[in-house]
Amino acid sequence: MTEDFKITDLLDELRDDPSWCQDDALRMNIVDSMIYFIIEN
Amino acid sequence: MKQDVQTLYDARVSDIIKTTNHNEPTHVPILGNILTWAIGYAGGNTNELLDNPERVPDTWTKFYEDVYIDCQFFYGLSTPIRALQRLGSNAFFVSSDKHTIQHQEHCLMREEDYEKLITDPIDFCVNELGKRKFPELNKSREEAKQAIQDAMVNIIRHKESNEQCKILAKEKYGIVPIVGNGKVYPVLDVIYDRLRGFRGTLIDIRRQRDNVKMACDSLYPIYQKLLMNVEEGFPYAHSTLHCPTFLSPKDFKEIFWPCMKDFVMEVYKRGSKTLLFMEGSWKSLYHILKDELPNDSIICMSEADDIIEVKKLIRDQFTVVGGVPTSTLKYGSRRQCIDEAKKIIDACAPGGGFIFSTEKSLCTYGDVNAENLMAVNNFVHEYGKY
Repeated sequence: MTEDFKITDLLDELRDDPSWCQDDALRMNIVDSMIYFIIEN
Repeated sequence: MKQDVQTLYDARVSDIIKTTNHNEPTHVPILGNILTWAIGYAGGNTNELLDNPERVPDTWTKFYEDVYIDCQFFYGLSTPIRALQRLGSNAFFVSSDKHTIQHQEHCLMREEDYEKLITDPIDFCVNELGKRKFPELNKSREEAKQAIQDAMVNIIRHKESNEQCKILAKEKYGIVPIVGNGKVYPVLDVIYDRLRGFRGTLIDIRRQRDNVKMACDSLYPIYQKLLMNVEEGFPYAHSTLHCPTFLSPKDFKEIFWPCMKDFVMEVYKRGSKTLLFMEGSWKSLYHILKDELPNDSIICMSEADDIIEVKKLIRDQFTVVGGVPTSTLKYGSRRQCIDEAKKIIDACAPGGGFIFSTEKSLCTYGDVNAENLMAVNNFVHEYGKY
């Protein structure tokens, strides 16, 4: 059974986590654009 | 950038701005509407490039050595296929020709989902549809989070590689990116392209018209945000329009147009223009654009309509983009291609408001005869002097 979590919550956590991308502006930009990426793919 | 390339680049920018404002430039600008054809021309392999994005710029820009181009619509690889694969999607894939990127229709919203879309479009499109579309997001929370993180790292590399294509094209060849970061995406096309697909959308317009309209209203603010990226002046915003060719003028005016008009006007108010890549025929719709948009607010890149007829219809109101049909470039003789190019320039270039290009994006290397494309573009650059 699928765990009950929201993808938007995962994106919020990744937005605040510099461990995978140290450039704050780039990280926030790419996380914000993931909304469109998920809708459009 | 070397001084001579900078001078060439500046002259090309000046010509594009002049002609799109109906002032005669020094030359008819030639726009490259080229996608993965560039990979085929260089003898490249898209799967290898997807795994080694640092190789994309040199491979993708190789055709500029031989094909005369002033400005470009798109650079690099359209889709970060490896990121999609990391999420478990096989919707996009590389064709058997080893360079063309293809996709299947992958619209998983059901006809009974409208209420959820209307009530909370982000929650429905991202949290619910996201799990329907991407198998890796149906695993444990930690596995899903890791998949998204890996996909984003891949997307960053993909975007950097495409940006490097643009920089190399500019600095080595003086190629002007005619469009920037501003994207006009009318929301009925979002429903058509991404959520309900061709069949679903056209049925829904007839069977649940009010829901389609309300869904457009709910998606509107999400896609309005993309207009924040519009540059002032030049380069222009862009819009690739898919479903209008399948709509009656009544449906277009009532459902598609309100959002499209608002977004195009927002770009215009910022001092820029929108380059419209108009898929299919728009013969029954041009009058709506003419009646409702200011002069020089859009640039019409017509895919299926005769460019000379479009120019006659639009007159001096908007810039038109077009050229020798790709079928002629593929199967015609060099003489036929050049005669056709001459006829088009004679009809469309006087007074400005014209950019020469191919009417379709070049995807696979066999889409045109490369020798014909080179001969035509060289001819247009010479014959298209004002």
